[in-house]
Amino acid sequence: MATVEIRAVKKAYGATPVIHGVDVGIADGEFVVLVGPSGCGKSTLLRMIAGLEDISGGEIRIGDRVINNVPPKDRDIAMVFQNYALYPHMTVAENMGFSLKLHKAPKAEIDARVRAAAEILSLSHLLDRFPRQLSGGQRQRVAMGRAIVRDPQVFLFDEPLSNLDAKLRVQMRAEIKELHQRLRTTTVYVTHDQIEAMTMADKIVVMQDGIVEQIGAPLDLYDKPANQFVAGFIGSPSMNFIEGRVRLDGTPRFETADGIALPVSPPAGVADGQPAVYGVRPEHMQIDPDGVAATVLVTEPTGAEILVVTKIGEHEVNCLFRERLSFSPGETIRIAPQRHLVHLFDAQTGKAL
Amino acid sequence: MFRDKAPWWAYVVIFLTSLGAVAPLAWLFLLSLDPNQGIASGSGVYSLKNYASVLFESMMAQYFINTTVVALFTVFCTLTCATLGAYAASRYRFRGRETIMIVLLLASMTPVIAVLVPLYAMAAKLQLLNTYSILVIVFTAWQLPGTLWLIRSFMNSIPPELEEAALVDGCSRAGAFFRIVLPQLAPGLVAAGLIVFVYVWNEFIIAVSLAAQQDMRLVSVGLYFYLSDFGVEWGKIAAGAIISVIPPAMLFLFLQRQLIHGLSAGAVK
Ligand SMILES: Nc1ncnc2c1ncn2[C@@H]1O[C@H](COP(=O)(O)OP(=O)(O)OP(=O)(O)O)[C@@H](O)[C@H]1O
Ligand SMILES: [Mg+2]
Repeated sequence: MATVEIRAVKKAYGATPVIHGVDVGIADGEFVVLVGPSGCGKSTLLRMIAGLEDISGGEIRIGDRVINNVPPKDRDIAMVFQNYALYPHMTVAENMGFSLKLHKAPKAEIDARVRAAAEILSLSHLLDRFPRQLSGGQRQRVAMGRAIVRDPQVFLFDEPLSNLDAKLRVQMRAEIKELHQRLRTTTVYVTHDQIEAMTMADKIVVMQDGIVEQIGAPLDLYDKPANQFVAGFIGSPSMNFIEGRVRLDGTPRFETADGIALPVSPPAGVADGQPAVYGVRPEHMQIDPDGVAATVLVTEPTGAEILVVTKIGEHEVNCLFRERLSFSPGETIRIAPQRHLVHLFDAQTGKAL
Repeated sequence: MFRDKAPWWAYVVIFLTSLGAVAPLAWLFLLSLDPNQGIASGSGVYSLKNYASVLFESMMAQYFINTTVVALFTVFCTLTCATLGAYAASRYRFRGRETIMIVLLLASMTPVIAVLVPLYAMAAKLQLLNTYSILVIVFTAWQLPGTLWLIRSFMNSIPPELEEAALVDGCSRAGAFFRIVLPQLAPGLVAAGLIVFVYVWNEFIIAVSLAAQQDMRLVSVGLYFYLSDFGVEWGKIAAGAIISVIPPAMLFLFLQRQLIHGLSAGAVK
């Protein structure tokens, strides 16, 4: 086990920069999730840690060793790929024992460790099969097994669950988390699915366009997003954003161009009339007789909760209620955000105010 | 896939096609068993005399050895060069990669006749006429572009993540190639190797131009010279032709499974 230090790391393909200086510190035994929209550079960053891509600038340390120029085989890492990358001509046992064999471990030890790993992942009865004879979920487990027999310093995962169906994904999510709690190996996990990130991570790194937007514990990102991008990315359904101005004359409020006033407790330093973006999560909307009028467009009950898409003036606002409410489309209801859970963002920079 | 029973006319088409392919061979075979001269003498007498005469009284056995040696070396050289080239063309990005591939393809479309005279002149200058070497060199050069294209398409169907996983697991780049890529490539290499082997076995123009000396002939050249050396002895020519078909046919039989596997690899996933 080891720490991983990513310092001012850059990556360019030819003249095209794709990662613009990223700093991430990963503590020993930590489970860190890199998350962000497609093309933001998560895989590239992970592959640089693995040694599968050159590092164009900055440095990466594993433990206290700078590994910029260390070949992948000497980094003592294990990686699980999105398509699993199992060796088709080897059995499950051979796949799992391959790296131990390369490291010249004695046959008895390879056997014992493969068996132990297979036991943990309930693969014992599949050891003699070839990858093509396995289901998607079983292949996924073998890929994990191949990583854990190694007992490496760091685990790297690149969207390992994205080829599984929804139910299996939830199950494997829990299994990976449990495995991490058991092994306590430092883990870097890439996904574009923010729910995966929220549920699994000790620490989330939100990336966009090759830069880090925010690093923090899952609930910190949810409660205190540093900017509008993180606010919109973390949380599902995602945060509502409304443009307008902060008014401080009389009761502090947020006013949109079409004259709708929303409650707000503005932080210090916000000027009267300052243009801003008002952010409120759907689950922080309430039914309130003193609230603003909203027209119901669509309702989506899921049993546990109900998502109501409404229109306040010209602004579409999603609301999530835990109560059993029934509305019909076209109906007018009165709703209000919970004042202390409202976020304000700078209209230009998107930074949280 | 097609689960339904094929309609009756499909059988007719298949039968006629097979007949078209097999009939000349069958006729050739009958001819080779006829000890008397002349086509379609219809004497009704059959013997293996022609075969004995081809095998023991002519240099045909030597030609078989020549062809086998040249074919095996050509297959080896072609596959080695093509595999290395295909690896680079498939796995590395470099300037002009696609252009080079297209130029290679165009080069391989040159008619043999067009380069025969310069080839002969060069071979003569290098004093390589009538050697195994010149045949292997020219055949390899001739087969390389097509084989490289073929192997590259096999290589492209092998996910690069396999190699990356091997690198992370502890292989060097070369180790990943030999332990992971090569086993995946095997059916493709068998297919490509067979194509090259059969090409050498059937090649005539280059062989007759560069190695016509009596003891250096390939089978195809030997058969051709039969006409002039013995006059028109159809029975013996037929026997020689039948014998010459045997080695490639055997190879196809033995490697059939790998071949089909190789040629259809990546087509269905
Ligand atoms: N070989 C390459 N040459 C040029 N650009 C590349 C290359 N590989 C990746 N890129 C670019 O680098 C950027 C980051 O790619 P990366 O694969 O890291 O994205 P990602 O965050 O993993 O996305 P996804 O969620 O779709 O996997 C993308 O804009 C991509 O177009
Ligand atoms: Mg990716």
